[in-house]
Amino acid sequence: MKILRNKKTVFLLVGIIICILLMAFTVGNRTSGFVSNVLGVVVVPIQNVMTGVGGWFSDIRTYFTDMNYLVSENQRLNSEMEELLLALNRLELLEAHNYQLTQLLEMDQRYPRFETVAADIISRDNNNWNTRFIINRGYTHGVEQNMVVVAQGALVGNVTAEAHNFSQVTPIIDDASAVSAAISRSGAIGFARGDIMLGSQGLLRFETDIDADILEGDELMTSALGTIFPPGIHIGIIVEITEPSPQGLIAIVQPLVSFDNLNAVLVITGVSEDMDYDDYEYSYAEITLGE
Amino acid sequence: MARFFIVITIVLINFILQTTWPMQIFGISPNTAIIIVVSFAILRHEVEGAMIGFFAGLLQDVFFGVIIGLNAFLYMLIGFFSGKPFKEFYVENYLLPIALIGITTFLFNFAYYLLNFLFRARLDIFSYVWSIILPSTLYNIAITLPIYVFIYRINSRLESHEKHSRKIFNR
Repeated sequence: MKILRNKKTVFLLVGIIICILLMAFTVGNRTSGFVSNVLGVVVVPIQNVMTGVGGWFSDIRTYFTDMNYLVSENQRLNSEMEELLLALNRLELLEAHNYQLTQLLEMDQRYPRFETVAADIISRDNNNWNTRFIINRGYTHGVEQNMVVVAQGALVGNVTAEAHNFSQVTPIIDDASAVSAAISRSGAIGFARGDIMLGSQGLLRFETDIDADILEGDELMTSALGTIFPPGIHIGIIVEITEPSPQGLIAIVQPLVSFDNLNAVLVITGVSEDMDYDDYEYSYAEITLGE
Repeated sequence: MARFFIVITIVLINFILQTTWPMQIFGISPNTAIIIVVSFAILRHEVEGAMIGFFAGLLQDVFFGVIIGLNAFLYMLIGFFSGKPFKEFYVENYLLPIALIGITTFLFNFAYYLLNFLFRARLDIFSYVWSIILPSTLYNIAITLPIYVFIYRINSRLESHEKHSRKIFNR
């Protein structure tokens, strides 16, 4: 073995073997290891501060440029809030009503309420291929692999790796992401897939059957077929349906979450077992049914 | 020992800066980790280049990789082969880092595409080369010189410091 007489070549071969072993041990099963935790303890606090400082600078910038906009925005939001309060009151009434009716019917199946952990996005992948990002909550905060991440009331993605004090999130616009999804109007099912070319515009693809009932403006939600994502989480709106191809129908989806200026997310850590309606203080407690 | 800590600090700071405040132009960010690995490899040759590359890649893997070791592998190869002595060039010649960083950035992105995208049936190779690989290569070439000069200066400081103390890395 003449090649082994060169020390540098031996060094390279050892390095290659270490890399291959690392890959073999972590493929399909990226649990948090010692190295991840040590690097996390060193890097994450600095990233936290840096992201905070970056946000502070852009806050100052927006403070001076957006005054007028903010005033009109405030007025608009105030009037919108009034409307929403009205709607909320109505919906609370309906919810209580619904609860009582459900009780009457003795229905066990209820819509689950999610328990969530709030997290900040502290860094993003910069290698131009993937759009994964890091949040500042890890398994010490109850975040685990495959947990679902939401923001602004819609789906962001799922946790793909966790460590002591940070977790890696793969968003739905990432090229490696595929979510089992359904059109809420017609129930047509398919896959919402990330695509690197669409992802740079903040869009993704919906692949479905060639004869699926789908229209522009339809709402896309997670379907009950997936294993990671619970059904009924909003994904986005169909904005364009391309020509049918032999593989099926491909539609372009505008996600409800705007990934460009996303900086905080919620991680769904679990489903609370019982809905605690005793905690509600209904101002209209005297709702009676059937009288 | 001073070299060890300073190199690790440079790689860490670069990683943190890149992932918190990316210098994106038209959605493309430069890969400054490659520039740092290649610069050190040119100045310190194969073994140190490979070690620094391994560390830079491991950092990327731990935070953003699906499996750990892929980036470490690619960056290690970059560090090793950029560290080969090129007899036609002096380290003061700026053509060498620019050419090497152009080649390695292109090859790194191409290998990343092969391993992560082609295997998932993303076959439209020319559009990926045109819209991602070439722009990021050009961007990297454009910002090579300031970073190379910075690392060259740090390295000569370290080498003059090491002359007065015990030799740690014998070549």
